[in-house]
Amino acid sequence: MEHIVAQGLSRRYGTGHTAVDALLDVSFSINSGEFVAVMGESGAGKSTLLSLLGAMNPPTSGRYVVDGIDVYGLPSEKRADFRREYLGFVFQSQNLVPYLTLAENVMLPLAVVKESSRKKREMARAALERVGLEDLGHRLPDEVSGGECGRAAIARAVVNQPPVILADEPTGSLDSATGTRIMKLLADLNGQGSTIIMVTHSEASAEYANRLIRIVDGRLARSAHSPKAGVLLVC
Amino acid sequence: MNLLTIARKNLARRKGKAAFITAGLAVGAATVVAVAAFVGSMQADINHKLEQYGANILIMPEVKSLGLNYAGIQLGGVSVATREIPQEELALIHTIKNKANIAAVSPLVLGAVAVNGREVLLAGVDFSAVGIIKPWWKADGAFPVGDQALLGSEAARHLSLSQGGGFSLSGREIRVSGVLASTGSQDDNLVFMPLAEAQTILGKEGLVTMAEVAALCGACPVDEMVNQIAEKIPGVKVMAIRQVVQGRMDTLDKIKGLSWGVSGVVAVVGAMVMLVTMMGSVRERTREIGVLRAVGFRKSHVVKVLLAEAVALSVLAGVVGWVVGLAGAQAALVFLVDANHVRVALDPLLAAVSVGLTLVLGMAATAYPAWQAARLDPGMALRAL
Repeated sequence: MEHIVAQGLSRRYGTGHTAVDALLDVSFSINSGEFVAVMGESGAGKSTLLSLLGAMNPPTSGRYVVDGIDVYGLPSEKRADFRREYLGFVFQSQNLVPYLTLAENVMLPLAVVKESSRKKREMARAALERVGLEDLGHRLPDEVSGGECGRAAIARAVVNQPPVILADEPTGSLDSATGTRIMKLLADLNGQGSTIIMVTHSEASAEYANRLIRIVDGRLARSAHSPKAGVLLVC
Repeated sequence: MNLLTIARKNLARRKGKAAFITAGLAVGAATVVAVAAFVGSMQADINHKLEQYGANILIMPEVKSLGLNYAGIQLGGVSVATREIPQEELALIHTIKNKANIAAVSPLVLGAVAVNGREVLLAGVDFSAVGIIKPWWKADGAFPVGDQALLGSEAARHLSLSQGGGFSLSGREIRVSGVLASTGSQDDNLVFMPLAEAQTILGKEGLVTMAEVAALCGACPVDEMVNQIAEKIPGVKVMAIRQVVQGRMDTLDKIKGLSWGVSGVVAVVGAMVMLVTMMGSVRERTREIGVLRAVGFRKSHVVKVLLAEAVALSVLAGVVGWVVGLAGAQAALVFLVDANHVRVALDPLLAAVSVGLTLVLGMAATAYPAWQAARLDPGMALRAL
């Protein structure tokens, strides 16, 4: 069954002579449990596509449907609820809140959920365990390494077990060893059933995906199976 | 982990900014509290002094002609009272609408008598009321009872009498129980006796020449009380001694108006400090707010976080402002008014006003930055990469 459907998504910034089409008529569908890498040059429209898929940036035209929900047909506040329940975000620079401990950062999506504090702590501990940070939950972000921050960001993305994880250059600011560990974590999550959509410049990171979407000048260039799936990609 | 955790932790991280905002609001609140406490204490001080002045309402018989005297110099045309006032009518004073404001009623009967061959004015007074009406009286000896008399200082010198001495009056042997210290008033020339004895000696049983009333004048409407007494006791002239009261109250009103104006401006400046600081804070936290929105915070959640921070700082500023304001008012009283007997009251209502004021200012100053924060595009977090 088609899990995510994008139909003719376009996004224009500005108006008149200064208007820029960041994304033009992009359509694709993603099945549940897929690991999709989105690649392209800088300025190609990858981040615009990810913010559209993240329910944070309404398209100029087109539809975006997840599990039958027309995401941009939802009112703004309901779309916030959708983000919380359906999506987990992993940002390039982790974007951990600096004055919260790692455990509190992981609990951030739960802050507006009506659950007991104990239950929230248990969920955060479980998420930290999944990324191997169970002993560092009490530390502030500036008290741990970049790789540990990246793992904490993944724990935050999965703490409420969303069906879709969106990752924007998750290894972009990390050394190769740490980047590899982060990619293995994402692959593990995908193995456990999460649908992952990852924007990346890195061919090495893209190899963890089982499908690749390439964006060129705002348009979809090719959608194909990645080398991991045994099919060479030709764009 | 909830929205309050985020607000609390952010305030703890940004202690300097939090202290700056708190100080800005607290200065405004402290100014308002100081003005309110200072003015309140000044009013209390004035009331206290007015009570020390004694009577502020006089009840006299109606007169047929104007008296031709000025500053005690008699030029003829002595006023003639149409009648004495029946003493029992004075009881009606305690039935007026503002009876709660009456501290004391002191009847006075006057008449000329001869003592040791010299004419003096005998005054019969109710000594239980005199302590309130004329608290400045200091007697060398005791207040008289029965056939005893208290002499004014000039009268004692004129009659060559002192405490323990005696004289004959209308066939009665009167003992001098004491001599008043000089008051600088007409009282120095009088011979005082208990009201009933003086009425008998003067042949005015059940009558009084005039009465003095002390009204507690914090906010009491003296003019209305004058009218109320005049209605109850027809045929008498009721007058308010109001010049001093009115003058002081007018001055205080002017000070009050100016002070409220200044404190209003200071409070608004405090709110502006908070507005600018909160707007800067929102700008600094753009990425953080974007992250919150990205992980599923509604706009209202972001607003709640910012308002929770504003509430915490406002309440703290209100309490600090109350304490500092009271301390400032007390210092001002000591240094500016020389009113050592006046203490600023720890008025809980003023604390509530202070906290309420800072809450209103804090909420008003945070509303716009919070609205701006809520409007932030959640995609900002991604674009900020």
